[in-house]
Amino acid sequence: MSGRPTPAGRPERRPLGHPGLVPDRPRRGKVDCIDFVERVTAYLDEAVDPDERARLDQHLEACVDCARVLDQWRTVIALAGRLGEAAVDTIDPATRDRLQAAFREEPPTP
Amino acid sequence: MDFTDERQLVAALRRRDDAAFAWLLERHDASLRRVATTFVRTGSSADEVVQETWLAVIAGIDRFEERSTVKTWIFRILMNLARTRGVRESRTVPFGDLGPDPDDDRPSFAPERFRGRLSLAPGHWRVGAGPAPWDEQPDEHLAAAETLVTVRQAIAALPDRQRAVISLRDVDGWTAAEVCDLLDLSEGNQRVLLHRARARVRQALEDRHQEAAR
Repeated sequence: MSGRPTPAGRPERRPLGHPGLVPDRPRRGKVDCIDFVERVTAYLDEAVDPDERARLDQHLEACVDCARVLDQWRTVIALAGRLGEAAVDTIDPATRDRLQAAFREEPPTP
Repeated sequence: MDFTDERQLVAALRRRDDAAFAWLLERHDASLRRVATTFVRTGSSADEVVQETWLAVIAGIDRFEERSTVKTWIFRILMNLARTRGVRESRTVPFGDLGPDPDDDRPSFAPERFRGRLSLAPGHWRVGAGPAPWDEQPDEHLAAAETLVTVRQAIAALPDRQRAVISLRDVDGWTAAEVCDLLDLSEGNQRVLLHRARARVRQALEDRHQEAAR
């Protein structure tokens, strides 16, 4: 996967020793920051086994930056949820009326 | 009347209870439009697909067999209509067994932000390259309308599949299982797409913070 061209056709630079930073792949052994940041979503979805969770937690305790990444992930989720609540792209009133009328007039199936 | 109770909802829709249908529109219309835009080329096509979906819901509610939730049923109708139209507009359908988009395996943070293998602490943040602290006051942050604009724009700019997954999971609050089922994704792929999407939104917020700080 390393050296695979990006859509822009430029090969992506990955630090040596860290090929294939796939978020879905559990991390075995010691967890470094570069591993942790790919596991945040799995961690929050509780899609990590107890052994990996323990190692991720251990890393979190020792690393302020990664703890901040976890917080920021939570903030991103909260902000996206705000977008849903804001519902700025609600249905326009004319369309709503038309659909409500169609609903009212739909004959019941016997 | 509790429309979150499926039985009451279906019964009310079959009675042609205006309030029940208004509740459905309120609850799902915006979200249907978000999903539709991942399959068709233009906003007006998306609007049309969403309207067709509602008309199909109206025509089909009496035959709805309650083997799935009303929500899943409505979104399946949308997916079928959107796929058909997407094919007609010769836009590639971005879901199913087509394999990952090359864009989907970009790392969450630029690799340059971490130390290389030959350093003292390989794989750790380089000095000063950690995440910028843009969320020190979460409440204040969440309240800023500007912040939401940044999030909205970042989501709009995502590749199709990432946009669909983050829209359903984080904007609309669907579960992972519901998203996998609707979009025909494996749990693992769903998570990769979601993670990439969140990473880009995070980066957009960090960029905005740093611009503001300059």
